[in-house]
Amino acid sequence: MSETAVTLWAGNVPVRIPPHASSAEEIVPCARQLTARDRQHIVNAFNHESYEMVATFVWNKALTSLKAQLGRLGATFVAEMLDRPDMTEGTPIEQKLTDYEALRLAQELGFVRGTGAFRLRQAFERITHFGSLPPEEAEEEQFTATEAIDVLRACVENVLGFERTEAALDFKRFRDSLSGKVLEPSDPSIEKLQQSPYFFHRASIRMLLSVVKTAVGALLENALANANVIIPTLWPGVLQPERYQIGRAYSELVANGQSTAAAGLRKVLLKVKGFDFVPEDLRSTSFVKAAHEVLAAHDGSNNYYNEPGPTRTLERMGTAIPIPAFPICMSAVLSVRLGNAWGDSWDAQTPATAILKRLSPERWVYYLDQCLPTDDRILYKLLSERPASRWSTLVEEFSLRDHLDDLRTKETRQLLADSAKPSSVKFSHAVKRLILALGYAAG
Amino acid sequence: MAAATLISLRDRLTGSVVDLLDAEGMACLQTQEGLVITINALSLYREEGRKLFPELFVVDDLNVVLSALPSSEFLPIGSGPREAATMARALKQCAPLAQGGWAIYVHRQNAKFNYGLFRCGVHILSVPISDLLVNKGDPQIPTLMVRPLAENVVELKGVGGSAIIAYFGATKATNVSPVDAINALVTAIVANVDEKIREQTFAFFERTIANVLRASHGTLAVVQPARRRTFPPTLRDGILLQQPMRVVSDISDLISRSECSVNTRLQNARELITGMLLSDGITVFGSDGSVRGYNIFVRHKQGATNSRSGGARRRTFETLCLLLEKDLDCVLMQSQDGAVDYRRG
Repeated sequence: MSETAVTLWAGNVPVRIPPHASSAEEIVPCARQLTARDRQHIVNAFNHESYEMVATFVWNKALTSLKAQLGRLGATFVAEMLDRPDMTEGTPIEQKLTDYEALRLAQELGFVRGTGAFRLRQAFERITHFGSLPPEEAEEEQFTATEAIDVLRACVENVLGFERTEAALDFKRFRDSLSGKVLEPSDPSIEKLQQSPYFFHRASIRMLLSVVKTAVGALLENALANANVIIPTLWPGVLQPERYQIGRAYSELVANGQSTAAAGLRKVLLKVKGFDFVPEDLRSTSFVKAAHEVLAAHDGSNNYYNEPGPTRTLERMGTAIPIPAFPICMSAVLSVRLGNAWGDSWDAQTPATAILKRLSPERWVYYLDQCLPTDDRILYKLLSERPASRWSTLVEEFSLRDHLDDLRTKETRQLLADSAKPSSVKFSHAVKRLILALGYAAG
Repeated sequence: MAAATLISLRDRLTGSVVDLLDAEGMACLQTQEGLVITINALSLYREEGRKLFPELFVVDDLNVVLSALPSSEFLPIGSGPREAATMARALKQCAPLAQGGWAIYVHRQNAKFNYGLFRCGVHILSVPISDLLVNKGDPQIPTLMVRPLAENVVELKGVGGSAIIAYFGATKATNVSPVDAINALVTAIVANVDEKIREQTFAFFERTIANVLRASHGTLAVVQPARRRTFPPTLRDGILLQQPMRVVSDISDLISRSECSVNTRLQNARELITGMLLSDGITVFGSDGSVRGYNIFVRHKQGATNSRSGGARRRTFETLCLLLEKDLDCVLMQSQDGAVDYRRG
C-alpha cells in the first residue's frame, strides 16, 4: 500500500527487531508469546542445524496464536469475511481456517501490516513447500539457516513479539460503529472509507453483511441503517464478486427466515438497483463450498496429493458455474493450474483444465475484467516465477490475448499484454499495480 | 306494509377498498371492483366442496417482484382484459393450486390483468411471500394482498400498511383481529426462545396457528411459563406429553445445516401440532417454544366465569383466563363460528 494512501485502519506496527539481528539468539528474546523454555529450544535447534524443524515449530506457534485470536471474533464473522458459507456458528475456527486464510484475514483486520503480511506469506510458502517434499527429495533439498531465520523474524515481528496479537484499535472502533450507532453519510469514517483502497471497501461490506446476518434488535437496526448508507455510497466502485456476495446474503436471509434483515437488505438492493446480483437459487452456495475445498487442499500440507480429489469434485458439479460462485471457483481452479513457487499438482491439472475449457469467451472477459483485479491470491502467485510462467502458458493455451480489446481495466490489459514475458519487469509491475490498487503490499 | 330495509355490505366494503387503494397509491376502478368480488369469494371459498384458503397478490411489476423473491418460481396461467371478471377468473383457475407455499398473483398492466401462481423459499422457515412483499415489504414495490384469516374473515392489506379486515356472516365483530390474537399467542410461545432464532420460531408457530384458525374447527391454546415444569392441577385432565415436543432445536439445525431431513422433521412436527390444535380440548405450549400437552379439559367452576352466554369453549376460555397471572402467560380461543379472542397475563 502506498504510504500516502488514506486508510480507515492501519495494521499493528511490527515489533522492532534490530535490522542487523541475524541469529536466533538475537531474535528470540523479542518473542514475548513464547516461554523461556520454547526460546531455549529454538536456539538449541538452530545450533543443531535443525532448520526445517525449528521453522515449522515457530510457524505453528505463530499461526496457532493468530487463529485463536481470529476465532475470538466469532465463526460467523470470519465466515463472512472469507466468504465461506461452509463455516457456521460453532465451527472450530482454529481447525477450519487454512494458514493462507488466516494470514489474509489478519492483514484485512489490521492484525498485521501489509509488509508484515507479505513476509509471512513468503514464510508460509516456504514451510508448505518443504513440508510437501517426498522423503527422498527432502534429503537433497534442505532448509537453509537463512530461510529459517527469515521465518523466525517474520513470525516474531508480526505475531509472537506481541503480548497478544489483536486487531488494530481503529479497526475495532470502526467495526463496533457499524452496529453500535447509525452513521450519517457525512460521518468522517464514511468519507475516509470512500477514499481508502479497495480492500477496505470489500472488508467493510463483508463486515456489514456479517453483522446483518447475526445481529438482532437495535444492533440489527443500526447495521441495516448503516448498510443503507455505506453500500450505496461504495456501490459504483464495487466489483461484481462483492455485488454477488451482497445478493447471495439477501438470498440466504430470505431462505433462513430472517425477515427483518432481509427487508433491510432489500431496501439497499432497491436503492442500488442490484437485484441482478441476487442468485435465482442457492446452487451457487454448493459451488462456493466446493471451491473452498479445493483451496483448503491447495493451502494445506501435501497439497500436490490432496488437490486432485476436490478439483475433480468441482469439475463434476456441472458444466456451468453459477455466476455468483464464479470468482471463487476461478480462484480455486487457477490456483491449481498455476501451482506455487515450487511446482503444481500433476493429477489435478486434468480436471482444472477441463473446467477452464468450458468457459465461454464472455466468462473469460468477465474474470479478467471484474474478478482478477480483486483476486489477491492469484495476483500474488503472479509475482512468483513458476506460477507466472504457467500463467503465460495458460494465456497462450486459451488465447486470452484475443480478448484484449474487450477489457475495460487498463491494468489488466497491461498485465495480459505483458504475459508473454512473465519474467519481465513490465509484467511484475503490472501485477504490483493491481495489488497496490487493491490496498495490499506488493513487497 | 312497511318497505323492506335494504342492507348491502358491498357498499361499505367498496368504500373501504377505495380508501385503501388511494392510500396505497394503487387506485384503479377495475382493481377496486375485482377486490370486492375477491374478498367476498374468499370469505368462504370452496372448490368441489373443499375449503380453500388461497392468498392473492396484486402487483404492478412482476419482474421486480420476482427478483425480490429469491429462489422463486412462477407459473403463468392466463390473462384477460383489465376488468373485475378477469380477477374473478384468476381466483377460480388458480385457487385449487394455491397451497403449499404457492400463491396467486394478478399482474396489472395497462389494458389487461395477467395472472398465475408464484412461490419462493427453500424450506419451511424461509420468509413467506406475504412478509417479503407486504408485511415487511417496500413501498417501492407496490403490492396488495388478499387472504382469508379464518372462515368469514378476510384481510386486504397493502405494502404501505393500510389494511381492512372484513367479517362476514353473523359473527359479532369482536374487535379482536385474528392477526393480533395469533401475534399475542406466538409472542408468548417464543418469549424464552434464544434471541438468535426467535424470529424463525415465531414464524414457524405463526404459520402453523394461522392455518389452524383458517380451518375453523374452533380451538383453545394456552402458554405456560417456561420455568414451570409441571402442569397446574386444573390442567391435568388430558394428554400430558412425557417429553415436550421441542421444535426449537430442529429450527436451529435447519438454519445452520439446511438439510432436507431436518426440514422434513419440522414439517412433520407442524402436522402434529396442527392435529393437536384441531383436537378437542386445550393445547398447552411452553414459553420456550415447546408443546407440552393437548386434548386437555378443565372443569368449569360454578360462578367462576362472568360469561352468561356462549358455549362450552367460551366458558373454558373464561376459566383459563383466571389462571393468567400465576400459571399461564396467554390464552387464545377460536369458536366454531370463526370468532377469535385472547388474553395475556
